[in-house]
Amino acid sequence: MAFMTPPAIITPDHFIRIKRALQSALGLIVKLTTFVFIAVFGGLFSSWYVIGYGATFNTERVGPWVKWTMSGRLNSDPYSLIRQDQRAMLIFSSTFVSRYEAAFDNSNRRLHSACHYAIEGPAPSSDWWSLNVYDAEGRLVPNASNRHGFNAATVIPNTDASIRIDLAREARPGNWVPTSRAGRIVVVLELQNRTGDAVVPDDGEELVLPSIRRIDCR
Amino acid sequence: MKMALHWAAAAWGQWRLISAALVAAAIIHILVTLSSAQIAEATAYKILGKGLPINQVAFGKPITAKDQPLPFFSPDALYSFCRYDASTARISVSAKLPDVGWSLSLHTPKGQNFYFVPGSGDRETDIKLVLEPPGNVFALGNTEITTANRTIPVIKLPDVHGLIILKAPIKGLAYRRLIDEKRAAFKCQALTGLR
Repeated sequence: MAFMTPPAIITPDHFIRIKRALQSALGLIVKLTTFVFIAVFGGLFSSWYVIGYGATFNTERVGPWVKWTMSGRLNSDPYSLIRQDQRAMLIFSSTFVSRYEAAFDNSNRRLHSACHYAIEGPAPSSDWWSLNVYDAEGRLVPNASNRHGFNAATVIPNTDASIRIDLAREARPGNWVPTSRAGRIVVVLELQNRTGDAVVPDDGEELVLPSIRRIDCR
Repeated sequence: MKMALHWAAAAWGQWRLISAALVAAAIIHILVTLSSAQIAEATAYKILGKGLPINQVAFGKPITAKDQPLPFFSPDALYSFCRYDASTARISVSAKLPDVGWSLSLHTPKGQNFYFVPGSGDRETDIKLVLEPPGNVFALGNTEITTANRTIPVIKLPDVHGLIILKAPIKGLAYRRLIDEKRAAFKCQALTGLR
């Protein structure tokens, strides 16, 4: 007669051990997921953000205007280089020409063609300047008058030598740039000096650029 | 007391995990950024250079919404281009900048602007340059060539290929003839027998 092995008896102790093992595995999975999420998402997002919006070390902000201080140079930082390449931009070195971009108004609201904006303030103090309006991808906004901006020679200044440029869908008196139905828009202001140096304000004098004021939206 | 110690140990474990993850995020950030910068494809140069002759001046058409060669190109100027290739010879460049707002700029294929001459409102800027290809061990940085009546700067190129851009701002219709005259003075050609 063969001996039969007694059936395995699962004691409460076994349950506790299995539960602990499962808890431990689950904890490990949670930790690993957290680690991978923070590392991958944090690394990629921070890189994307600095390339798109800049950081304090490679941008200079004057009101709503942003200047990429290292762009276009031989020794430009990798963020500026990638941004320039991604946007297929061919721009002057920031050493020679100050190029300011504005995608937001003075109240930090994104510029949009559905709104009417007034760009106003003192005319830039550089020897030459030009201000042009593009859509978010850098394309010129099609319009019947084929007007996309103004420069130091074409702008009509106010009687006190200040300037006002209106960005709007409908025609406006004075210096008007039609924005049609471009959606999000970007304003680019380039300042150039005859010395070949980018604009540097005098000692103790802060650079003042025109403000971008939203008047209304449709 | 035991509970507090247990909680402290757990919290310490979490902080170690988060710190390690942040360090890993920083490493990924650096690797992604540097590798992207390395594989940057000189997009603007490829788009613009496609239709340009080598070592010759090409006069660009007025920039319009329908005919815009590159994003963010300023439409209030007329551009002339020279796609240079200094792999076999030095390049001679000459141009005239009659007024402020005009400029002559040299760019690498990656779009880096390494040389820039602005126009001055006081008098016409007459430019003559010689572009020296990289790799010439006998040339130490930028030098000069002295001819009978002037000294011509020699610019050491960071890359054998690149672009020269003459920018002529449009100040109004009355200036169009002056712009055409001065643009016609822009020359760019290979100097044979000087290498």
